[in-house]
Amino acid sequence: MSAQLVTVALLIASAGLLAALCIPANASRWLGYGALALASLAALSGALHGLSEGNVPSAWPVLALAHAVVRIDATSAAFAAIISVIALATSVYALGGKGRDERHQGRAGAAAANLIWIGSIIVCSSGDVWFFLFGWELVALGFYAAIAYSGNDESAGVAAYYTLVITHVAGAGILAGLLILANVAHSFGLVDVAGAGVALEPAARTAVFFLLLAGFGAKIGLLPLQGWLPYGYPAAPTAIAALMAGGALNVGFYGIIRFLVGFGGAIPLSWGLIVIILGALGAFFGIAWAQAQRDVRLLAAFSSVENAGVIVVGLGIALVGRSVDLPLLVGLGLAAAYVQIAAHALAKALLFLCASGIRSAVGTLSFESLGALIHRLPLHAAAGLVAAMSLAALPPLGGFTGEWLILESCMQGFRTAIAPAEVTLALAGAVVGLSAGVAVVAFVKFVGVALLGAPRSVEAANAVEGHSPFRTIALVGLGLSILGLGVATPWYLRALTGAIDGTAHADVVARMTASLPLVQPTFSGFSSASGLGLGATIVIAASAFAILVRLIPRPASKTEQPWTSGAAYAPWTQYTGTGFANPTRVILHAVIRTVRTMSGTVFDPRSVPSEYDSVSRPFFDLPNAIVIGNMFLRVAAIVRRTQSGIIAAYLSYILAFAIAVLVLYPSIRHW
Amino acid sequence: MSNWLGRGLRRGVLTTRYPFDEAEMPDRYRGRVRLVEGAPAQAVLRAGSVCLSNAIEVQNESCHLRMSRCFQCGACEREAPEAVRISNDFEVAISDGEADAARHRLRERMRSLGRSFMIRHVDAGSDASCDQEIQALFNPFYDINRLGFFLTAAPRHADVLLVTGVVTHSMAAPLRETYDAMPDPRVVVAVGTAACSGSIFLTGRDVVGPVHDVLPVDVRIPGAPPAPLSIINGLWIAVGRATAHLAGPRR
Amino acid sequence: MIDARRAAAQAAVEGVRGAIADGGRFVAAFYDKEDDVRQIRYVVAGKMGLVQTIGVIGDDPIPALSADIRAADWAEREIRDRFGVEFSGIPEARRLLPPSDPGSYRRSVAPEVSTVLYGPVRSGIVESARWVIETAGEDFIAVYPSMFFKHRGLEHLFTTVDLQRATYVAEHVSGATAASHAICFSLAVERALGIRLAEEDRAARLVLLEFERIHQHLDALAKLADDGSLAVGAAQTFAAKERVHRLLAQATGNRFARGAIRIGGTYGDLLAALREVCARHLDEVEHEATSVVDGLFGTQSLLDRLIGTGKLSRGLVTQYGSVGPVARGNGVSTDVRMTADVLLPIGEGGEALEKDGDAFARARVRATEIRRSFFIVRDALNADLSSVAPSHAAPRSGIGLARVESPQGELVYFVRVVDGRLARVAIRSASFANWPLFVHTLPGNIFTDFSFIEHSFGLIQAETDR
Repeated sequence: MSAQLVTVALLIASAGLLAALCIPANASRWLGYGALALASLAALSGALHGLSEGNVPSAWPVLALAHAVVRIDATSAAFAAIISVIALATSVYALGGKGRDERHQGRAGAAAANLIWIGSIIVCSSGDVWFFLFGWELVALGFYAAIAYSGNDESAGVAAYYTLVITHVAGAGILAGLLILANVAHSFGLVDVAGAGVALEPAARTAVFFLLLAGFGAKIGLLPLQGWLPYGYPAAPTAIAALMAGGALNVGFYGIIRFLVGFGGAIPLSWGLIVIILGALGAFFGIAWAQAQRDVRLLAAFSSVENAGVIVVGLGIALVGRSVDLPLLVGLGLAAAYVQIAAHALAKALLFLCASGIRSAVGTLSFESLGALIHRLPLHAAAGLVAAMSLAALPPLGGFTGEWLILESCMQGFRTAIAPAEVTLALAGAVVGLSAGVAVVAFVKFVGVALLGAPRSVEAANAVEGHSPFRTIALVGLGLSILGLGVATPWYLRALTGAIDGTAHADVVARMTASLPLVQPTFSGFSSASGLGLGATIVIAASAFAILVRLIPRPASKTEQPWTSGAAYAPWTQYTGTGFANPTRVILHAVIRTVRTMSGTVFDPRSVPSEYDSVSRPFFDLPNAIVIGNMFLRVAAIVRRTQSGIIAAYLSYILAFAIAVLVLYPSIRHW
Repeated sequence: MSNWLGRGLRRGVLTTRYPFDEAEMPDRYRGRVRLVEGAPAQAVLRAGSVCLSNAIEVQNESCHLRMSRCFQCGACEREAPEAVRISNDFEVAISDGEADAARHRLRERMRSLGRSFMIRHVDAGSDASCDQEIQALFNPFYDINRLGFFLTAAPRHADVLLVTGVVTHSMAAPLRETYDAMPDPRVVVAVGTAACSGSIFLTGRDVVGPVHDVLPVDVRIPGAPPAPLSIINGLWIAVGRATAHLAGPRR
Repeated sequence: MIDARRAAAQAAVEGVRGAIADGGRFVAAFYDKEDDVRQIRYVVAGKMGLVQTIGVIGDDPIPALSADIRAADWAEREIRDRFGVEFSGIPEARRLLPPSDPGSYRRSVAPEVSTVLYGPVRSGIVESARWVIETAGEDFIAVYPSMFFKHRGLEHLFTTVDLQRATYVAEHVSGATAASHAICFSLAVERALGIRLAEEDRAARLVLLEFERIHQHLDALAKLADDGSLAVGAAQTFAAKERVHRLLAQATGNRFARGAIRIGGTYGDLLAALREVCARHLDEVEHEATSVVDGLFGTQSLLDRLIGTGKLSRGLVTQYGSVGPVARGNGVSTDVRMTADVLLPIGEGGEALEKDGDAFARARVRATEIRRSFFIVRDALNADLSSVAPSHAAPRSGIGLARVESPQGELVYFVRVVDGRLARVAIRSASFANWPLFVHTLPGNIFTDFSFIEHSFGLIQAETDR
């Protein structure tokens, strides 16, 4: 039943894609996004149905000849549900827009959105390896389309190219890994392939594992393959970026859970520890770079890098659990990852939608031009505030519960009773905690500089929030979902029982949600948190305080300008975004590596600097990639010389190959 | 390492007990200036003619010396000693009547909460001597901390605004902003003849005028500069603990 | 006729450049309008004293000295901004006087740079001045002062009062150093009109100058102690200063010795009053002052904050033509008391010179000067002097240029008397000469050093802005 629903959804979205491509002007925008909204609703219902069935898969070979098999089990359903919720919100939001500033957001955006969503859902619900890879390529194509046709004047060309290259390199890694597994499994069925690792030689197993990790990691922005995110996300239309960062990103996590956490056979401890270390470092570096950024979208992109790292820490702990044969630990790591995945998807999408609204009202997303938007754009500002609070892990929102569960799972290191694992988990927990702290700085900067204070530019002062019921529904819906996730986490976990328990092969969720409304990290008696309790306490305390303040008589107050030592208050004396982030930049200098160039001498009145520029250089940034890419291109240029077009050359290649095979076959046969 | 503790103990207590006890300035000190009763009109006119700040006003039969305009140079007494008498009386503060309500509220607050008074000083165009005399209030001889007066940099926390100097064009708006930034109840004290009346500057093009041309002033303390004891007297009046000998009209 | 005027301005500027190249020091540039002829009077200090060169302003812009001589910077910019005279080649186009619109401080360097205006109402009991700080968070892009908020138009005010009472106007220029200003102004008028002084009057003036030096130096040292959180030291130093003021009040009737100086001498029997009061109190005042200064210099925690703070180089000091303890901290000698302009040739010789150029060196200069001032006072009070002023027929018109060593440094007054009335009075105070140098002390220091450096300069805003 669920597979059928998802297939129908895919068909609706395809229709929407065609409509967006073929029908001109406004109607295509309505049809395209409307179709996407309907499709996501259909897929969501299919996914929910699939979750309610427990871990019983429902498959439908749509076009068996073309390897198009739709198979919904609990894991697929979970991810399909998450992605569909994001797509629903994004498409409803886009329906309410006028597409004023982003020229092609209407048609090309609708087409790209549909394409991305179709690809993502195919990846999550595919039962066949080829269909899986087909979906993956559709996602890559959709990303490229979104960026290349966004109509942004900024270096969209470079960004699109870079995104495409990285996604293809990732895809190549995945292709290689999956085909090696398929070869051993003697089948292209997804489940068979996923469990085929048991039959491989150790060297090949390691190679496959890390190829798949690299491939999926590049998609989610795992260190060191995160370089394309800061180029790709800002270059896309901001509303589509919500779908990219909040929705399509999750296919990478799906791949990790399906193929890596579910890797067949015994998993060496070192794999899990490497994954944890990469995740922790990525979390810290990502958020350190995030708070130094000057553009809202860049801050959001690096925040995605941070969250990817945090989620991967959880998944790494699941891997460690598999290594030491502690199914409860596996389940805990998975559960924490699922909560954080959902929280991040919702909050990031909300953040990008808020940014999209700011962009169309103000015209820019540079921090130095924003300010006081909480007065001019109250709805979007409230949405941004909720998203920021969740990403900064403040209770009672979803982001808090996710981070809390991840930290709790890091604290379980002692249960492994193996020294390297204990140390790594403890250190990872410390680094994740540290990155949560820096996240607060980053999002205080976002809220303080963009939403509060005085407007730093004329455009910000004159921004007007257009009233649109679609936008309101989308933003409010996402905000309530984030709150709901934080408050009702146990019920969310219960809905995912099939996914978590199925992958961990243990009765995890029941233990975690044993005493509602508390959430416990699997092992009873360790700790617990109650999102509902926290939320209720906060609300009650705030109301009590407000009432108390009303009751106490106060003398009359007057409102005056801020005190500025006698100079009239002006917005340009405020902190700039860069100024606010500067102390942290100085402290984390080794990580952020800012390069400042300034003409002139500061204290000599005759040569006062007239130019100033400061640029952060994250590790593994585009320029580094360009260096590596040029190396490949040089090699490719050399190889290209073999493609001379002369038939005689090709015949000689065939002859040489045939001789080599004949000579080497006897030795290869025993390999 | 210097023995500051020993040094302080050896010197003993230097602090005056004023305003709880009497205090006196040196004999030669030029403090309060008075017109002698029944002095010949010619003498008074002569004295008035040498006053650079026009402190002596002669109208028909009555003559009047405005202490707020007097910068205590002594020229009038030198010129006509039979008409002008200068004493070493340092209690020269002038209270402007309508400020009683603010002073009353300040006084009530001081009594009920045992609070101290926070002073914010603004230099509106002074000649630096009034500022140094205000600084002297905090030296061991006067120590106004014992009276509950403390200095603050934030106008938001200030109860008393001390303004020195005639208000120049460029300082009028900053002075006004400082006053606006203070919460009620607040009291404004003009320290120095230039702040009280504009002194010799009123003919200039670059000054706005005395402080009361910009802000409502409660107490004015003339002097060039007023001695720290005069300023203490003025502050005591400003917070409602004493009454002034001189009363001024609200101009 | 037009050619002659143009040549006059050019020639004057060339002459001044030559004088400075020969080892002279730029002192001042005064604008004057004599009989409807606009002119600039350049003053250079040479071995023979102050030398004046007049440049007549024509229709062409005047070549700016400040193109290569930094000491002329503020002087020429003030003339440009206040009197509308056109110069060619002034390196700084920025207005010296405060702008009417604060928005004009804003430069478009980069969007991440914010412009912070500190002042004019600053924290503490401090004179009003503004500092403009352009910053991108931690990085300083530019720091410079925007002063002249306290401009009261004193130079113009002089011309509206009669000659004899103008000494009161001089005392109002800077009340804290009223004696220096009144004496310097009187000397300028006395030179202009050829008035000679009695020796006793000279001695009385000298004593007042030295007492003023003592209480201003104690003020600077007390503020340094206060900045260094040496509360007891600061309190004791302010107490020592208080004793000096009480002595002056007993002797002159005013704590700052105002109202004591007249053109041609002093009011009342000032020297006798000073002798009488000092006989009773000078020992105690001197003992308190010197012992508290010794105490400050024996407190290592304070010295640690001063050593190496606000360092200047000798080259910069000579380039800017700095004077007073600021210059002497780098070993540059500009003490008027060492020149032919001395009031009375008595007192301990030698100048207090240091060489490190940091706040500590400047404080040492002040400590040495306090001690020397007490010696000079005793010598002056004990000297055998004549009380008779040589009589003469005083002309009604003339031009006078006088200088005096105020506590901040060399103070210069220019006076033009026409027919018994003041036609022009121009002032170059030591603070005006030293402020431009201040920004150069900032590199390498942290922001909390700012008030240390400011108090080690010990300048007065009122005489800068006048």
